[in-house]
Amino acid sequence: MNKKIIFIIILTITALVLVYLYSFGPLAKMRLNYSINQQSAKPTAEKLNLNNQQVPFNTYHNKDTKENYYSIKTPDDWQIGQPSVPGSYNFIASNIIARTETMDVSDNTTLELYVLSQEEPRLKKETSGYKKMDYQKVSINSSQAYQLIYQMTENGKSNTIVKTYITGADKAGVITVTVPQDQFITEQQIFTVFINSFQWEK
Amino acid sequence: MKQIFLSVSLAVIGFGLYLKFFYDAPDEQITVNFFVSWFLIIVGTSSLLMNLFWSSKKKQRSISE
Repeated sequence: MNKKIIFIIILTITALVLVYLYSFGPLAKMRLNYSINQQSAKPTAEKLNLNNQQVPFNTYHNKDTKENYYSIKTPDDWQIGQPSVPGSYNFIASNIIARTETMDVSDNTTLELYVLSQEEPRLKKETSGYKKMDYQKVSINSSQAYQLIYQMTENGKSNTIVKTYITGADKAGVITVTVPQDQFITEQQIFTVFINSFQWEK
Repeated sequence: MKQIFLSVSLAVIGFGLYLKFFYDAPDEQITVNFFVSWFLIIVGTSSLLMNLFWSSKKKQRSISE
């Protein structure tokens, strides 16, 4: 057999093994890290007026996935955690754990139908001590959104979770805020500002 | 025969490129889409190269004869 042909076969097998490792093997994490834009984790500082007080906020502009660029504002004392998937943020504050991400919704359904027929039953099944508190349609920066509020109880500790699904051109935005049940009222103003700051960008 | 082999190789590469750049894969299928698209591009390219090198060797033989 031609030496060049043997060389091509060896090269092909090597490339296929690398692609396999990069897709499913130990190198898969490198691929995910590559998809996360480093600029997404660099916020711009600004001050928002809350109760006639100037409160410092950070604005994060997520540019991880095309057609799904968005911005979100957090109080500057919220710590940003390591993102697990492209297009997501994890924030930790003293009483609040928050997460923003994008979610694929198939073209043959609407976001509201998806939330009610797929997401809510899934949450009910997976969350210990699930108790639905509220469901409402809201508008976030001119985008139609659906907000599900529920309680979960784990190890005797109750948390309230506010999950907001925001319609988008390609994917939907999802904001999840977890607050201890007894802190819900006191923290409500700050996480409402956080949720309402979500904005799709071009 | 060579033409058919070339066309199939190009079609495989084209389909791989379509999956890589134009197909909007759902979130849970992104990894599979990544693997399949690269698999098709690599296999298509290598079969195209093999076809070209093989035929050039045959040509060299026929010229020397």
